[in-house]
Amino acid sequence: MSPNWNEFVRRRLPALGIHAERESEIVAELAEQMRTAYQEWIDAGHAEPDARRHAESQVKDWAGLASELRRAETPAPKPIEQEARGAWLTGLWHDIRYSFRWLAGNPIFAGVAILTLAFAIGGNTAIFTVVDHIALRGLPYPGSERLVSIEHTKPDQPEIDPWCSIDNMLEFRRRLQSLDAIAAISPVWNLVLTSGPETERLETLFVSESLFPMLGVKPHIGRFFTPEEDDRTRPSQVAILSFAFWKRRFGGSPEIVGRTITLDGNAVSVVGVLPEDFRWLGEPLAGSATNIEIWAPLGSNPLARSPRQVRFLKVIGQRKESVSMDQATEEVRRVGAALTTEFPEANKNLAFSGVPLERKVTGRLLPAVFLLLATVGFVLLMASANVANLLLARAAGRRREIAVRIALGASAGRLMRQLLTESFVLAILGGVAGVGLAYGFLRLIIVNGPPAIVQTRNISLDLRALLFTSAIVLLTAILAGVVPAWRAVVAPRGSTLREGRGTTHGNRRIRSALAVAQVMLAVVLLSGSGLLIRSFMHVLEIDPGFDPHNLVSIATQVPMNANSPQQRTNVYNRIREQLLATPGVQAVGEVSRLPMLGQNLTSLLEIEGHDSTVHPPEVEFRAASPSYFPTAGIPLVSGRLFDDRDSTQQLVLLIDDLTARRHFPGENPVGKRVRFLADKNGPWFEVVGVVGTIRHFGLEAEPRPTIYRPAAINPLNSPILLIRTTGDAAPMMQTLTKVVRTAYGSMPAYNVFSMEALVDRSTLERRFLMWLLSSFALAALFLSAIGVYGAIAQSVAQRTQEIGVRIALGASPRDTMRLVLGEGLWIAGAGVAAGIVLGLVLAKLGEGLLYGVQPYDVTVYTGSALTLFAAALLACYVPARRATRVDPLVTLRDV
Amino acid sequence: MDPKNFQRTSAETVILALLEARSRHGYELAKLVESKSDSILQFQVASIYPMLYRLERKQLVEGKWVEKAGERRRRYYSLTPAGRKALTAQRKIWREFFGALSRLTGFDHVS
Repeated sequence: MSPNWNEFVRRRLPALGIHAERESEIVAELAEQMRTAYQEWIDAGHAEPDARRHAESQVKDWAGLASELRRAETPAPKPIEQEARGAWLTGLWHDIRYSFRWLAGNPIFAGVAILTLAFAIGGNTAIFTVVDHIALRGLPYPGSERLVSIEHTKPDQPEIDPWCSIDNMLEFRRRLQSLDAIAAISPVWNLVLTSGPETERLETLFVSESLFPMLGVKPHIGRFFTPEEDDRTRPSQVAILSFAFWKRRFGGSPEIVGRTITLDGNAVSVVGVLPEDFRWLGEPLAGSATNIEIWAPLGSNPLARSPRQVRFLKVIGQRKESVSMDQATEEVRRVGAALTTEFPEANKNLAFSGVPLERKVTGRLLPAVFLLLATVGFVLLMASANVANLLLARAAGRRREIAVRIALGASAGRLMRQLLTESFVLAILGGVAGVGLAYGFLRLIIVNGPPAIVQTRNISLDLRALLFTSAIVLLTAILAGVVPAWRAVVAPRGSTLREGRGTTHGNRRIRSALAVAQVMLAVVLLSGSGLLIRSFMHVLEIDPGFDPHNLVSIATQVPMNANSPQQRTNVYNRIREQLLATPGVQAVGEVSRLPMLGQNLTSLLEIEGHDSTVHPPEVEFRAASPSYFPTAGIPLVSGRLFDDRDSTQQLVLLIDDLTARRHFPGENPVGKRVRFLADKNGPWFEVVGVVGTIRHFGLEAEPRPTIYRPAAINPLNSPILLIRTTGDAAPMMQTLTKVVRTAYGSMPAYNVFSMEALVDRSTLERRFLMWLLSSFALAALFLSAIGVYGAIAQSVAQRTQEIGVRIALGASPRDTMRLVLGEGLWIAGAGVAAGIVLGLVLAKLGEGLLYGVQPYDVTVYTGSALTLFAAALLACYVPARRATRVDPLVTLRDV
Repeated sequence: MDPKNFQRTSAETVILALLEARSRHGYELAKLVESKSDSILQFQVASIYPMLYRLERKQLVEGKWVEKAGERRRRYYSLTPAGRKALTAQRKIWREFFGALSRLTGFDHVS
């Protein structure tokens, strides 16, 4: 009787772990082999025990056979050499599909990782797009890198920004060899359009005929100016319209070319329309959102034939291609020095220099721009660290899978590639979502950002932004993927299969290091935003010198036919009476220039009895009506205000407190006499009073000495009315505008501002920067808390046994809590320390952005350190609670 | 070709060659190798079955349970068309290989 060989094989062969049916088939086949061997020997006449031994000896190593069979039955991974030759792409496709399957199977993991990356990538893309448009890609004119601004400075008064006279400009044009062309641009002029149904005031620039060709602009329709039209000896009444104005006022009709419009009472012929996207970004518009509607030739400007002392132009040139920027600027300096020598009277105290226009336009913004780029860069690093953390945690869970695959012959390189593919797929998904978010961020920035910065350029996501995003995605994938992939593939070799659940100390160290780095970056960002917030608070505390609440400004233009001073005074009085008759109006005043708008008009003074030849007092000059000061809430310090008795016969002036302190030190200025240096033989004016200093150039700009003359002496052509209301001014602005428009026939009313809004506007850039940085800092705080949580939670999970032993040996929940929180605090402490050091270095670099706060402000650093500690403790709390609930029995049994 | 691979492919080629004429079962294959190579090559059960299964997976051979009259049920293996093609390819490689070997060494492998 043959033994039961099936039974024999079943007993000896270790389980194959394959499909049961297939396994019994293999068992049957092996048994058949035994049986045949046995039968052969029986048939050959061997003894039964010998035959049996012979049959049993057919297989000597059952375990070896089982593993051979297992390998034969499972599809082996393709050897890498084969793939390297051609099938690489197929393998990559396989990896990508595998990654998608894996992510789909772990939706929470995938969601958290993708959202984190999307936020960081979106933020980076949006900020990069803004920065790229305003600072990196240069000005939107072909050959803009060759544009040179010819700067005038007063070395002994660097805060003053002087302009250029037309004679000096013509000298530069004649003498400079290194420049192809030179153009001058006037300040913004207000021309009043009276032809057509509605009177309208238009922002105008007078420019040299050479400007548009120099900038490489082509007219939308019509033509630009000819050199003859720019001849100041024979002024031509021609104009070019902006695209927006042409569309708005003339419905975009091509018939406009050749038509005549009435500007300031002159018949002006329209010769062309500028293209839609054209904007002049240089001086005097740089940094403002002013929209120019009319462009006129410089030769037709009323000041075009004024003497060399009258400086009212900004000058730019374009260097020849064969000349370097250094050579060009050096020549400007040389020619400027010659002009100072040749015309000492007119060019006294002036120095000339050439500055690349791009630097001139964007230079002011660069500190803020780099701050923002660094901030979003930090957030990207933190997001990458978080995803790296998540991948590390996943890798710990997949150690066995990876070890099995290595045992089955997958090469380390092959596995690295697969794990990196996973981080790439994550980064790409994050990038796609990020571009969507970037679009949203960008809308937010454009709508809420300072108009002068974000609305003067056509900022949109474009190819450059997408290239940048792709680079960011690549970087993120590498940052987030390399360490986890390396750890996953290199760490578990060999040992993991045998191990039930080892501790991967390396992973824990890396995760703690990542958490420390995140805390560090969060401290830097929090401190930075703290410093900006404190600066902003200081700026808000600044007293503008007047009371902006319930105060409205309306600029207007006295009609052309009101020629005599008396007529202009009558117009003003009429408007004032009508305004005062309007319910809710408390007071009305008149001034020549509005506080906070930053328009300057400086004059040099001679003070009777002082030597004014070396450093004549340079003051801002305003004309004001007697009621201006009480209306604006500007206090009288000493003496008296103007009153209605002051007439052209009584030459009186008011000076502000700053002028009194700076130019009348130790004396009482009231009763002293001054006169204007420009008018050497002019009359002396008596100082009758001292009023409070106000900030004309924005809250942060240091106030400049200012003097006031009565508006009555030479009534204003374009007075600015200040109206104080009894209640909130905003709802009344419409009514007040209408009163001004209709008070004296048809008059324009423009620059209608609530003064409160104007004060706010001067803080807009700072507010915007503060908001952006603070939002990113909050995001950073959140990311770092997640990072600390991840590190601590994993540490607790890996130390469960240790904690169990400690509890078994008598550790109280309190001790356990302390153990876990201690680890969290260690991470937070290291991160905070490093963050404060890095933060101090960076704050010192960005000192220019601060106001009234030191880069080492103790409150700010203490605050951000405490915030980070609090966040870290909060992040540790859940894992710490989990640790106190460890059941020592359960963990010890598992050892 | 690394030695391990060399061994494995050579063994697989032997199996394919033995199945070229007709289908055989595992024990018969092991016996044939032993007798035809004058016992120079010996196949352990431990290696012949995993090898057959591997060839089956690659669809070079096909195994079928056959019950012949008066015999027990056995699994017979036969060449598939792909197996036949692979065998021809292997033969060519071996011929070239040994040709080159004999030219280089002066051995004549054909006895």
